Amino acid sequence: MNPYRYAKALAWTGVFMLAGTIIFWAILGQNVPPYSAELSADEFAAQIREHASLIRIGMIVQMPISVMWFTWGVAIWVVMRAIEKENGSNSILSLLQLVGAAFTTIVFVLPCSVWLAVAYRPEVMEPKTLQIMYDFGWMFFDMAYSLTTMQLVAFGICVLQDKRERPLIPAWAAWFSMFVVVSFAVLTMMPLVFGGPFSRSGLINYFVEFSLFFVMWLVLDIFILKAIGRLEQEHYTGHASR
Amino acid sequence: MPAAELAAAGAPRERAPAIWIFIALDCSSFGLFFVVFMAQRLGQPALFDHSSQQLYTALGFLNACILITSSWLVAWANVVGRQGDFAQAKKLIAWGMAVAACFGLVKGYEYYEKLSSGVTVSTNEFFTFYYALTGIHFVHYLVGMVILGVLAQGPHPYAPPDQAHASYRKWLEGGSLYWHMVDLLWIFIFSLLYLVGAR
Repeated sequence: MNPYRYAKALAWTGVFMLAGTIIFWAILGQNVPPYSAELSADEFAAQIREHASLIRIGMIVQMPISVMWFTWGVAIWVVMRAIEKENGSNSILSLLQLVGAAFTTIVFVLPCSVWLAVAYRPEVMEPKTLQIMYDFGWMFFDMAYSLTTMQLVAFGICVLQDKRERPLIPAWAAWFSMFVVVSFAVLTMMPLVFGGPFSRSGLINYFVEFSLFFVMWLVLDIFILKAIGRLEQEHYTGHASR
Repeated sequence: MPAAELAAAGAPRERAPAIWIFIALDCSSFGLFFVVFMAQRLGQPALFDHSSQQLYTALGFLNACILITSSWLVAWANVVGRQGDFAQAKKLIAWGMAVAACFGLVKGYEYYEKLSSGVTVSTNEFFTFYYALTGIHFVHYLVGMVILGVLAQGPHPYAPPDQAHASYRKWLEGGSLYWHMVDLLWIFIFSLLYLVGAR
């Protein structure tokens, strides 16, 4: 049996989730940018009440599609295992990546359920209650970055050990993804400020960090799909192109 | 065999370590932070100048000297490591770490002094940048100390010597480059936070 039989389908789930996240989490979920922490509770509640229907649709769809972060993580694991097999079968990095993917899935799902609760019946809720729930969602979403950092640093280190003359994933993509997830460290400033570039809707902690994250996601989507194609080819031609 | 002969014989040219990509991206993101800092400063120069004067320029300068000295020791370790003298390289890395440890002490004192006098992230925009820039730099410093700690162990003791030595040289070069970046970034942070606006 082809050992990469389901891997390509799983790699595509990364592409589907990326598109879905832009539509449902970002656009419909009113997260471009998120509501500022500088808004008063009343101003914030008025915004939520006005956009509750869209936020509900966004979060209702985003929650189930978030499982694709894990299925995509399995596709990444397949590529990493192929590299590790050539390097003495040490599977520690692929294990870290897989567990990181599983936990990052929760980072997508849990805050979306919180924001869904905010948009559930905002007209009868106290503005301050809505605001603290929304804040909680963002604290979890931004501050649990180390799970994704663990996942993609493990991936990057593994990819750099690829002994193939033409590596399955180029070194620049590995370094780029490691840079992006390490740069999440700047999110540490988010719970300490309300406005300015380091706030949850600010220039650095929202526009720069999230743009980098989405670009990295697209880059890895493309290279994981290509890598699985090459592994299938290597399997069928019966010899590795090394 | 000289490099020219190797190239002429068709030997593959050694590629530059890919850590350059990480360094370029990391420096660019700090560059962006510096641009945003200067843009915000334009809006309220008096506040930024006044806040900057509350920092100890001498301590910032001392930390720059500490990191430059440490970087010099690590660069020296890289030179002797390339010549195959790994015992000396290990010693120099250990000295580089010992010198760099002083940076942590000085920065720790500065943070303690500022926080205990009530100057926090939320004091004003200047101090938001102060804690963000020096904090992110401090994380880089800690990662660098871990890398130096690994390098101070020398080549892998049980792996075949050829393989272990080649791998150690590669890590030594990558680690040194990273450490120089930490040093370089501090020089920029020191100039922007401590010197621009100082009396």
